[in-house]
Amino acid sequence: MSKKIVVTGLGILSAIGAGVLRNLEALQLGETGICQMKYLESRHKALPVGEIKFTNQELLDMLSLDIEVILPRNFFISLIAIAEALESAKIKPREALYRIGLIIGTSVGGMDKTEKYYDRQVNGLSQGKLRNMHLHDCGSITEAVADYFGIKDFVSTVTTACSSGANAILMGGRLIRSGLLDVVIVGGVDALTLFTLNGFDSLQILDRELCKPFDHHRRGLNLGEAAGFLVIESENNALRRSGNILCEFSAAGNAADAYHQTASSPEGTGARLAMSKTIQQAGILPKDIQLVNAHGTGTRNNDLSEGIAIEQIFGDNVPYVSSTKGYTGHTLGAAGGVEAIFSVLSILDDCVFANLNFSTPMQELAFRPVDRFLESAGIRHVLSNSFGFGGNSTSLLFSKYQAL
Amino acid sequence: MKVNVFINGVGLIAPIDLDGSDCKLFNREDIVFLKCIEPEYKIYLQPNITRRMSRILKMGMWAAIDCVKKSGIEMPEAIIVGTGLGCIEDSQKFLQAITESFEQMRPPTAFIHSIHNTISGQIALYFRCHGYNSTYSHRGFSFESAMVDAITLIEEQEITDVLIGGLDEITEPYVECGNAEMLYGHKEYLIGEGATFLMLSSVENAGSLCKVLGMQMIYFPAKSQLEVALCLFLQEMEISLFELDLLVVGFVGDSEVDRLLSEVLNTVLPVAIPMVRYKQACGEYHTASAFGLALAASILFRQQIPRFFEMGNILNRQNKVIDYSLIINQYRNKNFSFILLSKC
Repeated sequence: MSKKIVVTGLGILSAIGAGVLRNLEALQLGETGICQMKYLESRHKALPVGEIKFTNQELLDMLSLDIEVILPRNFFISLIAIAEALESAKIKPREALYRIGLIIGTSVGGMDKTEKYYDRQVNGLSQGKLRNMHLHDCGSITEAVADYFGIKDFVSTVTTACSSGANAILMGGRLIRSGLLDVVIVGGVDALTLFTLNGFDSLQILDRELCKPFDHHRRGLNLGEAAGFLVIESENNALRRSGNILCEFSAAGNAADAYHQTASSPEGTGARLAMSKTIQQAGILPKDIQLVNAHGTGTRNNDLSEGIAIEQIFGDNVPYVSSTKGYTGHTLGAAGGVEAIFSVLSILDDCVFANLNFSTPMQELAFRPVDRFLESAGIRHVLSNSFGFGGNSTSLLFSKYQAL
Repeated sequence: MKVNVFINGVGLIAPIDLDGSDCKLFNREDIVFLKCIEPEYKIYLQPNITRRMSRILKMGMWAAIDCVKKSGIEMPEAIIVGTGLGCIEDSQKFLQAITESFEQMRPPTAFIHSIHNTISGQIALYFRCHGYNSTYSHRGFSFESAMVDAITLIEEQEITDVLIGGLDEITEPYVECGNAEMLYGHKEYLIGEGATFLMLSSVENAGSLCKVLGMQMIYFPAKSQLEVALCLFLQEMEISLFELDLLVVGFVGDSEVDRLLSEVLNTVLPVAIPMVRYKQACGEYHTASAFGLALAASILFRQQIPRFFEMGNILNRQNKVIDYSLIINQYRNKNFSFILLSKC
C-alpha cells in the first residue's frame, strides 16, 4: 500500500490577489502586491505592506454570507481560501465518507478584533465591546472555520510564529501517514494587525522601502497578510475518489535553532538541520533538487544564515534559489502555506518565479537568487523553507507526481 | 498504537501538591479560582534570568526542566508544547502600550515574549536541543495535539524521548477572555492554571510511571456520536468496562456544562467505576487535561490516590490494584479526549 501523500487542492488570498490563477499571473509577471498601507488604520502609514486588497465588508460580500462583520479578518480570509481549496479538490466535507482534518497555522488569531476592544477600553470611548474578544484565541478561528465546512475528524492550530503554516502542513502529512486521517486541509492565515506591525517595527527589522531578499543592501522585511491552504491526502484516497493529483508532498523536516529568541544562529543551524532532515526523509540527494523557495525575508540576519545553510547543504551545486516575499510580504503564520502553494505552482508550470528587488549579490555567499522569471526550468523537486522566531525551522519538499 | 509509549517523568506546577491535601484557592470579587503553588524557581533557574521572564514562561521552564531531570536523561529529542492562550500577559502589556500611546511606545521585550512558541523555544534553548519543536494553541485540544504529535513522531521516526507540555496561566486578560466566552455561569465552576510536562518514551525503565495504551480526540460530537466514540475506543483498546479500575474525569462542576459527558458515561459505563474529578484540584483551563494525565500517571505509579480526593481515601483503604485508568476530558463540550493508561 502506497504511503505517498499528494496535493489535490489549493486556495489562496494574498497581496497579489484572490485565487490561485490571479496569484500565478502576478508571479509570472513579476508584479508585487506590496505598496502603500491602505486598509490597516495605523499611524505608521509610511511602511510598505502586502495587504489583501479587500475590506472586511468586501470579503463578506465575496462569501455572500449573512454574518457579522465583527468577526476577525482571519476568519473571512480563511473561509475564502479554504473554499477555493476544497472546490479545486472537489471535496465536500459534509458528504465525504473518508476522514478529513483541518490544521491551521497562525500567529495572531482574532487579534485584530481584540485591538479594537482595547482601543475603546483604553482611550475612553464607550466601554469596549467584550464580544470583540471572544474569538481572540487562535483555536477559535480554526473551530469557526471547521464548523462552517463541517470538518470534524481532526482540528488543531499550530502557533510557531513564522513557521506555523509549514508546521501545519508537516503535521497533516504525519497524521495521514500514521493512518489517522485520509485528507487534511493544511496551511496558514495571518491578517495584518497593529500588534504585529508595531511589534516587528519595535525590533527594527522592517524595511521602509520594498524588501530586497538576498541583496547586499537589504534592510529588512515588509509585512504582509494572507491565507494559503492546500488539500493533502493519501495517494490511495485520491485515486479511489478520482481526485486531481497536482504533485506529491514528499517530505518535511523540523528542527530548533536553539540560539536566540528572535535572531537566527550565524551558521544557520536550524535552517540547515531542517533542510537536511527533509532531504533525508525524501530519500534523495541535494543535487536532485532544482529550486529552493527560500524563507528570504530580506532581513540582514535571516538571509545570511539561510544563505549559509543553503551553501552547506548544496555545496557547489546550489539550485535555483528564490524568495517570493517580494510579492506578498512576510505573511507570518500564513507564509508556510502561501509559499507551499507557490512551490507547487513552480512544479505545475515548470518555472521559477523571480526573486524581486535584487541587484547586488551578498558578499558572504557564492550564489545569487534568480532575478527573472524562468520557464521550462526542469523543476522536479522544490524545497520550501519557513523559519520563525523562537528558532522554529521547517522545510517542506514538493515533487512532480509520478503515477503508479 | 504501533509502538510502546511510556510516561517516564512528570514535572508539574499546579494549585495542588500531589502529596498533600490542600488546594490553593484564590478569591476575586466576581470569581473564585485556583492559583498554582509555585516552586523555588532558583533551584533550576538563575534569578537574573527569571527576573526577565513572564510568570508563565518561568512556570513552563521549571516544570520542563524538572520533568527532564526526573526522567533521568540529559535532554529530550523533541519538545512539543500546548497552550490555550500562550503568553497572554505579555500580549496585553504590548497591546496596552501601543493603544495608550497611539503606537508610539512599543516595548520589544513584551512583543517577543508574547509569541506563543516562546516557551517551546526557550526550553530548546536551555537544553540546546535541536530536535523537532512545535507549539499548539487550540483551546481544549492544545495539549492533546501536542501528545498526538509526540506519539506519531515516536512511531514514525523511532525517536525515544519526547517532552510534551500543557500550560496556561490565569491573568487579567485571561479572565477577560473567559468572560468574553461567557464561561463563568456557576459558582462551583472553578477556573485554574498550571504547567505540566511529561516525558513520553518508547523505552521503559525503572522510573517509568505507566504505559500509554492509546488516545483519541473527538471534536464537537452529538451525544450519540460521543457514546459510539467511547465504545469504539474501548473496543480498539481491547478493554472491557469491567477492567477499568479508575476514571480520571474532567468534569468542571457545573451540572449544565457537565451534563453531556455525565449522561454518556452513565450510558457507556453503567457500572460503578471509581472516579476522580481532577478539575476540583486544578480548575478548568485549556490545558487542564495535561494535569489529569499527570495525576493518573502518578496514581498508577504509586498505587495511591492523593488525600485531596474524597474518593481516594475509600479506594486507598480497599487496597485494590489499579491496573487500568481512563482519562476523559471535555472542554466546553466541543473538545473531548480519551487517554487509556496501564500500570507498568
